[in-house]
Formats: sequence, C-alpha cells, structure tokens
Amino acid sequence: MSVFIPERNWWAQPLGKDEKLWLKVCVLTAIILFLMMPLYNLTGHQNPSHEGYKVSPERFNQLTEDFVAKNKVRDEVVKQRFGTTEVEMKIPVVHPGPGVKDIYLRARAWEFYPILELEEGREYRVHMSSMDYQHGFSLQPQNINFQILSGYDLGCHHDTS
Amino acid sequence: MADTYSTQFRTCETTGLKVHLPGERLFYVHAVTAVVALLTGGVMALLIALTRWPAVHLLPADLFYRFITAHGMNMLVFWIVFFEMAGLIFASTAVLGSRLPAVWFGWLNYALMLVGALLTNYMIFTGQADVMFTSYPPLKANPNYYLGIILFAVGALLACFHFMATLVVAKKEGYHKGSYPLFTFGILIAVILAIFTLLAGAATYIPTWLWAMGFIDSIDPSLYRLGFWGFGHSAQQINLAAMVSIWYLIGTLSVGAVPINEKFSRGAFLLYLFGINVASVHHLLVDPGLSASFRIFNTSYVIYAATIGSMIHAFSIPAAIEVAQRAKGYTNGLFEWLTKAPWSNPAFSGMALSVVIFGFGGGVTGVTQGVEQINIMSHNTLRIPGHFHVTVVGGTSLAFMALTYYALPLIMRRKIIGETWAKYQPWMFGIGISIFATGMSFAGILGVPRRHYDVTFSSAIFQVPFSATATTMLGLLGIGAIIAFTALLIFCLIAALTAFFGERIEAKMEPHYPPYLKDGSVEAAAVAS
Amino acid sequence: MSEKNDKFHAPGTVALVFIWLAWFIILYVTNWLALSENWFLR
Repeated sequence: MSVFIPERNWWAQPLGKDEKLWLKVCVLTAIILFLMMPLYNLTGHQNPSHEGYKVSPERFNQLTEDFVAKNKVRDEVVKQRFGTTEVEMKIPVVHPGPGVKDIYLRARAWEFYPILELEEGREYRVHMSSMDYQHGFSLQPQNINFQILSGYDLGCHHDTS
Repeated sequence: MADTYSTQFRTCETTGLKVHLPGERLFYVHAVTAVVALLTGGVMALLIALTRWPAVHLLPADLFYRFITAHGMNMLVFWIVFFEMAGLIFASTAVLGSRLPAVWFGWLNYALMLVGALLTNYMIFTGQADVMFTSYPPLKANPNYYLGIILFAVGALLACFHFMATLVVAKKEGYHKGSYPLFTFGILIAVILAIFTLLAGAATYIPTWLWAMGFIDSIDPSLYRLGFWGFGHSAQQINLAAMVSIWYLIGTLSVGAVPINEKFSRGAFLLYLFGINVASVHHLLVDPGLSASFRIFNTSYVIYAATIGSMIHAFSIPAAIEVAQRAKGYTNGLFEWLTKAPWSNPAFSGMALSVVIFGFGGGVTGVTQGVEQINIMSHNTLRIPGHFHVTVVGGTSLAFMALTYYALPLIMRRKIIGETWAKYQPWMFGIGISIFATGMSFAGILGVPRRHYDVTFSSAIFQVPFSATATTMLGLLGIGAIIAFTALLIFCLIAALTAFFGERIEAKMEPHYPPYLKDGSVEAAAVAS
Repeated sequence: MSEKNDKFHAPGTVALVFIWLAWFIILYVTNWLALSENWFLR
C-alpha cells in the first residue's frame, strides 16, 4: 500500500511550526522533571533512606530481642483464634527510653514485632528487616511505604510529629 | 528461485499488500492463542476483583494469590506477547511484501512458546507456584514453573531473530527497498528492546530455576529484584512501542493518516531505545541499600528521555489524523476533524480511547509515582496496579483489540460476526477499565495495599480498618471490573465466532515477484504481476 | 516551504496536547503538595 511507503528523503523534511513548539515544550518538561528529584533530595524533608546495611536474619533477630528486652514497658495480651482454638498471646510493647535513638522492627509472616510506642517530636532511627519473605511496610494514615527484604536493614531516620 | 515463493502470496484487495500465506497461517495461530490467554486472564481478573471488593470477598485466601499469579502471567506475558509475535510476522512480511524466510523456524518458536505457556499455567493451577507474577525469592515455586517461563522466553527471543532475518531477506531478495515504513520501524524498535529484555530475563530466571531445583543455595532478594525489573519494566516499554506502532497503523488504515514528519516519529522511537532500560530502577525506589544518586540517575535523568519520546508520539498521532481529516474537508473550527472522525469504526474508536486512557491516565500516573519521594506514598498501595492497568489494559490491550477488528476481515479474511456489538465494545471496555482504575487509585491514595487478601483485617489481632471512602472505592473497583470483563467477553466472542464461523472473504491469489532486484531495476515480469 | 511553516498544520492537536500538559501539571504538583504534610523522613 503506497501510503505505507515513507516519502523519499524523509530525513530532510524540516519540522513544522507546531512540531518545533511541542518539542521545545517536551524538552523543558523533561528538564524540570529531572531537576525535581535531586533538588528535593537536597532541600526536602521526605526522602527514602540513603543508608542500607546487610544483616543476617539471625543477627537482626538478636538485635531486635535485645532492644525489646531493654525497652519493654508492658505486654499487650490478646486472644487470637487459630481455626477452632483460641490462644492467648503476649506481645511486648516497647517505649524507647531517653537517649535511645535506634529502634527495631522485625517483619515476619505474619507479624511485625514488637509494638512500638513512640513520642511526638522526637527523632528516631528505624531499623527494619525480614526474617523470611519480602514484606511491605506501610504506616497509616501517613501512608509511608517501604519494601523490607531479608538480609538487608532499611535504616530510616524518622522524625515523628 | 523466485518461482518457488511467488505462488505463496495473495494480494489484499483493501490495502494492495502482498501477503505471504505461510506467514499468515502463523499469524493466525499466534493471534488465536493470544485471545485464549486473554480469556483465561480475564476470568481470573473478575474473580480477583470480586475478592478485593470487600462486600463480595469471593475467593478464599489461597485461591486469591493463586489466581493473581495466573492473571498476571496470562495477561502481562502470554496474551500480550503472543499477540505481539503475530504483529511481528505481519510487520515483517505483509507490510514489506516479503516472504517469511524459514517457516519451519516460525512454527518451532510458536511450539516453544505454547509449551512454555501451558507448563507455566499447569504449575500455577495445580497450586505449585503461588508466587505471583514477580515470584520474589525467598518465595519459591516448583522448578517447572520457571522452566515454562524460560521456554516461552526462548521461543519469543528466537522469533525476534526471525523477524530481523525477515527484514534482511526482504531487502536482499528485492521485496523491499529503502526505509522501512514507520509501523515496521516501530516494531523493529520493540524487537530490539525485546532482545535486551529477554536476555535480562534469562539472567534472572535461569539462576532462580537452578535455585528452585537445589543447585544454588540462595538468591539475594535485592539482586533478584534488580534483575527481574531489568526484565520486567523493559518488557513494558516493548508493549509501549508496539502499542504506539499500532496507533499509527490504525490511523493509516482508518483515515489514511500519514506521519506528519518521519524524522520526528522515528526519533521518538529511538528515544525509547536509549531511555528505558535503566528506568526499571523505579521499582526499587524504596528498597533498602540503594544510594540516592543511583536512583536519581536511572529513574530521573534517563527515563525522561523516554518520556519525551512518548510526548512526541502523543502529538504526532493525533496530528497525522487531523491533517488527513482536514484534507478531506473537515476544517471547521479546531475540532471538526475529531468530531467527524469514524467513531463507529471499532478499530478507530478503540485506538482513540487507547490514546486518551494511556495519555491522561497511564503516562501521568507513571511519571508521577516514579518520583523517588512520591513513591514513598504510593509503593505497594493500589495506586500501583491502578497505574499499570491504565497503561497495559486501557492502553495496550485496548489497542490490540482495536487492531483485531482490522485483522479479522483483512488477515483472517472473515466477515465480522456481531458488528453492532463490536461498535460498542471498545467504549464499554475503556469505560469499565477507567472506572476500575479510578476506584483502585483512590483506594490506594487512602492507603489500601495491593496484593492483600483482606483489608478489613478481620482475622488480625488489632482492628484498624480503612475508611468508608476506601471501601466505596473498592466497590467502584468491583463494578468497573464487571463492566470491563463483560466487554472482554464480548470481544473474545466476536473474535472467536468470526475466526471460526465468519463468512469467508475469498483470497485473491496472484504470483508476487520481488519488485526490486539487485541492480535496483524493476523487472518487467514483476510489473506485469 | 515558508508558507507551510507560518501556520500550524494541526491546531486541534496543539490544543489537545496542551490540555494534556495542564492535566499532568495539576496531578504532578498535587502529589508533591501531598508530600509536604506533617511527617519528616530522611
């Protein structure tokens, strides 16, 4: 079909006025988009952590249990149903003491552990890792979402407010 | 030599194209297989959507995750790639008037893809691969699940080489001279992307397969994600290049549109080639262990080159249609060319809807959510599938459906059964998907996670359910899915009834000799044919 | 040639793409604004 054949010397055809205008708009848009990300990294307050550490599940588990042992304030007692049996579970509630900045959250099918009680206006460094599969961390209603992998510690700086 | 092949061609009475019949048969099987995968994935889609709609919550938990796997694989991989392979054959043979150089090879590749797809589906439906499309380690499936995908990928990769070989043969044997038409060029870009993509896929899936069999101890989850998305996102750019090529093709077939500037459009396709592969890092924006500069360079600097490419096509395609329509006399005001366009032609309306849905929904949500900081709010929420359903379903799949309305009469050579239904089907599908994606995206904005079985947390220790608005949005998701599924079913029925029972349109058999021989001359015999 | 370059040959499309750009800018800016809510993360 002749309409499929490109015209001869198509590479020599100049761009029309509207094409030139739109191309300029496209390039400008791309430059603005490109600048926003690094700019916000430097000046903005919401950025993913730039730190990441490798940590074995066993080691992270140890760090978490140590943290819980040192900072636990009480146990939350809940009844959980497994099929037809009802089991009483004790989940530690941890309130980091004064001067404690590093807090630990362990992800494992099917729970995050421990329960963290944090103070408003204080700065914390949250460490998260997984004991097994990949998990998604989601803090609501702030809607802060991260991916948690086993073997890696996601170390975020988090200002609670 | 010419006489061995010259009688294998027919002349299309609508387009004048010379169609190689063995290639046409291969087109046929790929297209039919694609629609079977579409139907399978579609049934899965309905069941999943009716589960995410809390008021219905249809499936039990294990089937939910199983069907998510089946839905992802059948839709994103099998439906789309089988259809694209059909497109490859068309772009390299019929559009160029060339023969397919090694028909047996084409059938071998199809067989590999079919066996791979069947094996993968069998593993999924027998519950041996509840790992979802991404199959992230340490989740592990039966090794045959990965083997099925590898076989499918090998078939597809070889078909890409076959496409390249056809382009070479077309020139060498004198079937085609000069620049390739824009449609073929766009598909060539898609094929080059596909080769890179499938190699990245091999680098990811083969070690994972070996791990599943116990030959490798463990797979680093972070490295897997990098490799998987190196394959996974580039795969979407293939679909984008194919979709854009189809938009141009339908513009040509429906209103006689011609690219307004070949340089502009081809340059935009080249930007896809250079820009997209590293952009895959936008899947890892909130992963542990990556530096900000790595994220910024890949997902910011380079990806916007690809974005410029899309923005250029967003202009070129409507502009080509506008110029063609204005030449026909529709010059009243700014938009008469658009209002008087052939909207009752389902191929045209499907294409136009695909452009609008992809442009206003898909592209903008993708670029927005791919910003490192904004990704903190959208990662793992329903905003992500909200985005990719608009691009892959409202965009690519709808464009493929639109093209089918030409493929049925022109390539399958059957009169369409259900023409009135066909007129409304693209609208129903487009509107259904738009409602579905709106519900999904707003639910995600309110924090509702993706790949989650029960957001009422009914069996959790602490009840912290989402707001009533979020629940309403999930209801909208369900309703949109029902409408879209109905439209999908209508499409599959039209395609199947037409392909098997439609009134045959006789083929015009005419010997076709290569019109351009080595010395660039046109043989008198070829002119006579 | 210069006559061809004096006018837009696809004015309707020029309008459409600028409408699209406006939509994109609204969406993009709204998302950035949503970030600047009340939590800080470094």
